[in-house]
Amino acid sequence: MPIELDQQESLSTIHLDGEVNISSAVELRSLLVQAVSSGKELRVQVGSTGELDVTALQLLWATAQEAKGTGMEFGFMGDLPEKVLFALKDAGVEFKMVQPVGDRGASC
Amino acid sequence: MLSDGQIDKYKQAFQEEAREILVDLESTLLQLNENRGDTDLVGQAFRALHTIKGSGSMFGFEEVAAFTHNLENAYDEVRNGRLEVTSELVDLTLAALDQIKTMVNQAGSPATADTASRLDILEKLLKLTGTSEAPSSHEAPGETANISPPTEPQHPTCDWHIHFAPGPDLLRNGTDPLLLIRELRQLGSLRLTVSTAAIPPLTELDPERCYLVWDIVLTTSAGRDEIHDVFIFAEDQCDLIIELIPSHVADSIAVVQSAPSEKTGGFGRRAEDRAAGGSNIRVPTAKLDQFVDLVGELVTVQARLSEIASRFEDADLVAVSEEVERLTSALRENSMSIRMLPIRGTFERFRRLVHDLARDLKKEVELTIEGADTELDKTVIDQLNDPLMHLIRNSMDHGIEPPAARIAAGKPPAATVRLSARHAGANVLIEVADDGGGIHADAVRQRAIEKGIIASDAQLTEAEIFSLILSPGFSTAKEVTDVSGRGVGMDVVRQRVEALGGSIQITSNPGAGTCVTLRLPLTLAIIDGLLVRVDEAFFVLPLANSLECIELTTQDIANSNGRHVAYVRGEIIPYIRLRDFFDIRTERPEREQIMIAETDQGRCGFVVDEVLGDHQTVIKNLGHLYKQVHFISGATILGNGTLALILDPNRVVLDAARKSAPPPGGQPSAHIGAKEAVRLDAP
Repeated sequence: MPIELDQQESLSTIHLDGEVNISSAVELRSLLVQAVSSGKELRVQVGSTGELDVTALQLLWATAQEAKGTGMEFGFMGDLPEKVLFALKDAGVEFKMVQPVGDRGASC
Repeated sequence: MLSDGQIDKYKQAFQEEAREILVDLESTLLQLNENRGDTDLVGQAFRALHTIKGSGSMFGFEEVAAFTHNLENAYDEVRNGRLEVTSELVDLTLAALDQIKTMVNQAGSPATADTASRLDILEKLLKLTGTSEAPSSHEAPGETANISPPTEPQHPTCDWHIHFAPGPDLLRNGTDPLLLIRELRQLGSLRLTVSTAAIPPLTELDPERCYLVWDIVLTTSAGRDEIHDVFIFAEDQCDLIIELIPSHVADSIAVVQSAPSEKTGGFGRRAEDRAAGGSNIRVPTAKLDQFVDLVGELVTVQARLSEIASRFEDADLVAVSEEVERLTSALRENSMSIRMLPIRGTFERFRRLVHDLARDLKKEVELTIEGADTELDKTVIDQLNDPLMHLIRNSMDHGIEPPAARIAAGKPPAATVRLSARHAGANVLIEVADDGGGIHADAVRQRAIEKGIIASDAQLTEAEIFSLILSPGFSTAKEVTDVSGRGVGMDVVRQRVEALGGSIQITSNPGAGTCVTLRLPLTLAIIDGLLVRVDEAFFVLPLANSLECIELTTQDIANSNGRHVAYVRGEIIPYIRLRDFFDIRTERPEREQIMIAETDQGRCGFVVDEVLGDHQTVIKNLGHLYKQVHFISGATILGNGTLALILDPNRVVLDAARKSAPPPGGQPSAHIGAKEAVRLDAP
């Protein structure tokens, strides 16, 4: 499964692996909405084989805005695979989308 | 990950699209051959080849993509002014299109690749484009050579502003904007800014729509066309602006001052190209046929409801029945209109045929097309291809003279073949006409006598003589050619047209030309009919043929002195009594009705017991058992569940003529005038 939501007591983590694209966009949105509505701190972890297309990036961007508006902590966790870095660069949202969370993450 | 079923679906979609593009491209090339300086046509050809190459590559048709790539390069040379359009290039491209067509159709099946032909085409293309690199003759089957175009002179490095705003359906249609941006990066250095302003809140976001808008500055030595080509698959689904911006290169200033910006508005459509109506969808033919069948069933059930409502004196039931009838009629009109397609596609295909035949026969021929927007039922259009092809072949082979003969006859060396279509009531008339040598009636008559088709003393009108050409095995051609002359084609034409419920008429003027007119029904599914009764049997006559209804009294019969004719406002109208035609032996009523109809043989009356009124007739095929019963075109179910036979008035007249007076020689005459068609023995 390319998308999984792991909800713990005070933290939700979205795990993205493999190709996350338009075919899984509806599912991703659903999980992000669920995660945001829980009000917990939200992390996104992209696996080493993860690839994100523009639909995924938009959803994550919208989530970041939602989080900012509600004062919720949101950000990427761990190293981003090269393909994701390229996608962020091609989309032009590379340094605007990620938030520093703990030791990692880029500002959104 | 796509399943095998999904992959097959996309491959099928590519095959359908590729076939359509190839048909249009063929037409474009033939027009280009006549207008070699037309840059729009060159652009159209290039874009079509580019689309086939790109889509082929995307959907796994690598052979198609590789082969088309070479053609695309050649037309890129043309549009950049480095190669001229010649008849050799056009012929070569047409031959290449045939190969591409074969590759597209054969995809997925064991390859019967004509590799030798493809390599030959590539080699000739190389010579034309002046490329020194030749394909290897030792290539493995299925491989094709890639031709590298000659190194083009470098453009100066310029800065281009590109505004790229994807439309709402761009992602759904399979285009990833990030891949386009990545492709732009390959042309030079790129600086971009993205606007996220349109991204709605998460709960309102449509995950299958792109909300991002990019403004890009691309520094590149590539030309405008090369930049534009990155977006060629997406330009119909995005708002795209490509404009040159002042750069640090001094000798580009003049270019900048004269270069207009290229803007495509409205998600990629140029204003003048924007369709008035909106979008189209592609529907499988089987689904459409099923829809029309269901509408047909609904019409039948509605007829039953009307009949039941008329029996009960219930105002509410009658009101509902009338409303259902109104809605059913509207639905029927709508479903019929869905099946209607312009005949343009069929006509345009023949440009290639005329071009190739003219070359093979060493004749000069121009094809003109009129009424291409005339719409017919899709089923009728599908069946017309072969008959029209036979008619055009005959015209070019036998009708049109060689240039020298035409000049000697005071005609222009280039002949004209005219294809036209127009509506005529419930029919459509399609004409294939030429300005060739025409048909000599004497030669036709003599040939028919030799073949035993008519007696030597048969008295025929000129139209009847020309119709003999449609008989099996008839040909006045002195020799059989590859093109025609076996006498098979015209008979096949007649059979196909008659199978569609149509008819053929031939007119000709020796020395001036010939015109073959096909009269075809607009639709094969539902017609407006006139319901009539003879004893307990019901029949439907096409309303389009029906002129008027009069009463036939015993006094009328007495006045006609034993002939089956009626006098209508001074005109003598022969009639056929359906009771006699169908051998219904019950006692006929004192007063009968004559339905006067227009037939190919002139006006004729059909005598029935009662005319019941208009009837929306859903045509049901009687099946192969009744295939030889030509005077019945089908059957329909009435509201009370009874079957009614649908009559073909033209065939009824012909059949009555055959029954009444078979000519000597054993072969029935194909066409006889209406007066002769009626039995003249006493009632």
